[in-house]
Amino acid sequence: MTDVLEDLRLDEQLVLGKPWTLIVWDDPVNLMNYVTWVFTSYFGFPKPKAERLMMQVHTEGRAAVKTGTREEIERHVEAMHGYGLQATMERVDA
Amino acid sequence: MRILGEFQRTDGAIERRFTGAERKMIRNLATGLADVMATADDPDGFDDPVVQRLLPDAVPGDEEASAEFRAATRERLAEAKAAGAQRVVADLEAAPGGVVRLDDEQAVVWAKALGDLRIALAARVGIDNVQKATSPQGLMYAWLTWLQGSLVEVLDAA
Repeated sequence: MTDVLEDLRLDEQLVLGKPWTLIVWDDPVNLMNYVTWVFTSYFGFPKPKAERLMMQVHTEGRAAVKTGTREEIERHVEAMHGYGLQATMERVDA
Repeated sequence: MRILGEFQRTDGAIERRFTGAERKMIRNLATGLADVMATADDPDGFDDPVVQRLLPDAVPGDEEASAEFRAATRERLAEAKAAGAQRVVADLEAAPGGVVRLDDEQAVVWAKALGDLRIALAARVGIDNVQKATSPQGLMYAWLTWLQGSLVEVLDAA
């Protein structure tokens, strides 16, 4: 019984754990068509969504591109740096 | 005669002919980038604007989390960027008559590497300087911008 309760608590932590957000920042070097292509090819976003996010980066200076666990978002930040995009991560409630 | 040819998809490959001068210019830049990435973990490397721009902090305002991210990813990212730049040099050296033929996987490596070269150039000499097309670096930057854009256009049309 105790084991079951501990398992439940663990699950609850997982569900309630604060998610993280991947932020992509505007920079003066990366091309608009390159950023859109990264969003479609890496994340598999449909073209309209990729273009909307790219425009948000371009006009507002940043866009929240993806939310997930810390590990997931770290993986995405690393991938974005691999593409040369200026990416950071922050807690959703930050 | 095509002087400034774009990348084009032909027979399943993405192709472009590079002049000797173009090959030499990319080789010099890419070799320099690979060198910088090889020393990205040296204490001197941390202050290099090229390194700072290509391997930025992941969690600004949280030094501990940024340090964890660096420890987990920095070496791998630096190696991948150096390998990408070296791959471009190798593809250019192996190109018969200067004609580079890329499959889609190679083309992705190229698109990233050309972007890294532009970022490195802008970080090294300043974005204002490279955006002035009158300096040699500005001309190089403008050409690389055009070249990367042409490759992305082909990739994006797939």
